[in-house]
Amino acid sequence: MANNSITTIFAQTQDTRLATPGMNRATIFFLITIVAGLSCGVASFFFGHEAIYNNTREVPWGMLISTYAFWAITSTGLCIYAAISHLFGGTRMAIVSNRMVWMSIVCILAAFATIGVEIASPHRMIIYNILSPNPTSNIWWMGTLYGLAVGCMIVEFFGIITGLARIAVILGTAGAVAEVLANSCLGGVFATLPGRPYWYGGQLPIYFLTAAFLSGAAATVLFNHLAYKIRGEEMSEAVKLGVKSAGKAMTLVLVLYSVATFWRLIMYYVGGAELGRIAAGALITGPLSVNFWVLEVCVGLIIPLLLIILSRLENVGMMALAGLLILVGQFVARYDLIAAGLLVPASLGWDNVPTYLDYVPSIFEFGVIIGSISVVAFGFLMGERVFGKVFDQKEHH
Amino acid sequence: MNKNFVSAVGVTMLAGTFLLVSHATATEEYDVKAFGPKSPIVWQKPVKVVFEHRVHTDDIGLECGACHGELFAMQRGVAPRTGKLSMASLAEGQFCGACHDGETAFASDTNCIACHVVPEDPIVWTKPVKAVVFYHQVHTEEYGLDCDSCHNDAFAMKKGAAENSSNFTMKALYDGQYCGKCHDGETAFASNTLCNTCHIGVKGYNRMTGADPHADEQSGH
Amino acid sequence: MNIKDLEKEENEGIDTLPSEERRKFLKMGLAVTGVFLGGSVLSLTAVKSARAVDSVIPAEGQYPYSKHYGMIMRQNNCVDCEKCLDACRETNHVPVGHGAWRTTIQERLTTVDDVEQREFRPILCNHCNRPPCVRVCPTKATYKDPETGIVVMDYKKCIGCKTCMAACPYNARYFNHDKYAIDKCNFCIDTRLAQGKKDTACVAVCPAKVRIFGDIKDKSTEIYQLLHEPDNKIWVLRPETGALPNVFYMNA
Repeated sequence: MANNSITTIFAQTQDTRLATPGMNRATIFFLITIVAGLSCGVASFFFGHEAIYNNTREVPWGMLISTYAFWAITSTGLCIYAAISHLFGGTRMAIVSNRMVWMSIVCILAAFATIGVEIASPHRMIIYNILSPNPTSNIWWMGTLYGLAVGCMIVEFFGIITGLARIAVILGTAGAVAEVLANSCLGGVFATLPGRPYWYGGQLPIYFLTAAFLSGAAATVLFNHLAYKIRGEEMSEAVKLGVKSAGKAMTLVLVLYSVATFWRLIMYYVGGAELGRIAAGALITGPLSVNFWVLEVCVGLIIPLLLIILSRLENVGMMALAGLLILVGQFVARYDLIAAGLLVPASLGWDNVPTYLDYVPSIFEFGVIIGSISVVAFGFLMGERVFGKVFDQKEHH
Repeated sequence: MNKNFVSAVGVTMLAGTFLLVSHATATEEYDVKAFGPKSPIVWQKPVKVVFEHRVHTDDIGLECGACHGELFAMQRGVAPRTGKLSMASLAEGQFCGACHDGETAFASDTNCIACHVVPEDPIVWTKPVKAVVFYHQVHTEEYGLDCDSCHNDAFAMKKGAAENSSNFTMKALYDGQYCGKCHDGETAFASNTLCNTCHIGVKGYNRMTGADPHADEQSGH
Repeated sequence: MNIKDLEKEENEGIDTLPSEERRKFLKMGLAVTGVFLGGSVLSLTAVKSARAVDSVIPAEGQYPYSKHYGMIMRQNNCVDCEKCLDACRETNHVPVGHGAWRTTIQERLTTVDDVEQREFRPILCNHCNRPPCVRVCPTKATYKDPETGIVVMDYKKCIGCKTCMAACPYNARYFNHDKYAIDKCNFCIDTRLAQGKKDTACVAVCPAKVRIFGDIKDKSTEIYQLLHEPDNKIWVLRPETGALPNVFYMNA
């Protein structure tokens, strides 16, 4: 079976039920938005990153970095759940784990696409990440580990579609470990900067991991629901049970994440560095307060929790909506986290600087975001079309 | 058509007359008691000087011929245009100096602010460093200094004289020149203290002149 | 001798011991416990972070670099004439626009008893002993010069991830759109020090001697004397970040 040619593999994995004009139109639509969106990013190499992105000396990072973090974190979450299912085959989520591996790959590629047009000289990165590595740099570890993870997952996925379960489990585990470590280093990028009190501290990497578990579960519920929606079919009982398990995980982590968010913000108001308190103030009452209260808290935490309660963990459609809202909330939460840390000027009290610096993403930055979302949508549809049969398992192991 | 032409000419003439009249009233309103213009004559060159015609005619009782003819032409603006109007020529008995010699009237080198006005706008020096501010009014009104407290000993009257001199430096101040004449730590605060009382810097200069400090420094986009 | 007698004894403390004594004691202890390797690693880190606990000035005899360049600002002498800004821009070819500068002057206006007061503060890269920017750089494109301790850039290695900009507590880094790399003050290491000049462009041009530059290890330098004059109150910017900056501030 392993010696089958690629065409025979695809013949076995593709889902011909999705060879419909509607699917084709949607796929082409997202392909076009990928090209259009990422062109906005590629334009930076012609016109200069400093010219088309609204980042400044004082606010060097913006929505591109936060979106990168969002996709990377979601990828980690998906990968972890898939690996847990593969490793401990007994869990109910195992039945949907192949789809999660695929979506984890898709999400990390969306993340790479975003950061690829954000950093000024990616060609130097490819050379000097290898020739001149800095072991104390969280960014180096993060990049290297995410690269490793995506390599592992692609081989793992190859193992899945060719039925090499052993390779899939080993590399799936390796990939998940790399993803967790990479996620931890992503948190570390921010957590180890004493000059940015809003980020500094040991809580942040755990917070990022919690966010990964939350986004991963939300994405699992959402994408499985959508997979059956586009086929116009009902989930089998086994798949339904798997998705419900993901829903339970999502609920549990939603509570944990809310607790972490609460204490994280309270902490700044009991003392400590002034810049941290001012940054937290950006979320509570400042320029990010609408983002925080409306999108992060209401849309991203409270409404999903109500929806889950209303669904009684039975109504998959309602849970999928909750998952979508959680992802929206998480997207905004990443943006707020990055922005709040940078909007506070280090020269506060001098030069008549405003309490909060001004940063609004440029049209090009929004373009890249749309491109990265399209990468995920396109990847999802292509996955269902080409590998649908592998995702749509009746039994597992 | 005929009607239109008449009204058009009428309006034009009316407007013309009005313009002529208003122009005359604005500049040359005659005052009988002053035997001359109602508002004071203000020379802008070589420096701003205010001359009250009425003080010299109605108050003191001079005849027109006392000044007009030899000293000053009747026509406005002739004296400044000669290029000879200066404190030096006054001291030699020309122009105002004919009477303002210390006998007939107060000497031209005294009582400066009878004719001269203390500049309202602060002086901002940009050489040798940008930028130092000086307020005339603070020194005359708050500290009661006279013109001759500083002029021409510490500072020449001429605008920009100090600035264009090569030794307008802090060292000169410490040696008792320029501001250092009083700012020696006894008469007034020492010139090597309270630097930023006078030094407003490039930022202060830009604020004062309304220049955009970030015109060529735009951060970001 | 019982405990009460011991309490009466004056504690000489390790702080008051000469470093030679301390080192001897440490060596003895390490030799006894047989962790000499561990000890040398420990002492290595201790040297890099050498500061007396209650002071911002490096502790005596514990400088990690053969020349340890630093700068002290006699802050209240600064009159914001900005000659240093122009000199720096010209000497180091700092481009105009997009927030590019290596040194700048900050202004603070306050009103005390109805009198407006202005303060000026020059800032530049602090060339920290524990530089956050150097630690976070993925490709070692920015590093401490092993000779002088100056934080320098290797432009060709810079990938433009801007993590160093986010990490710097002093806003000392900028994106040089000409070089397409992050750039920063390097104490004119390439433009002046390499040619044997003893100071930086900003120091040379300052009419008020605000900036004093030199080897803070060398007892004959003016900066050393200013730093160790007991009457001088010396401070650094953002000490809480633990970056151990080498740019100091005082009022003249």
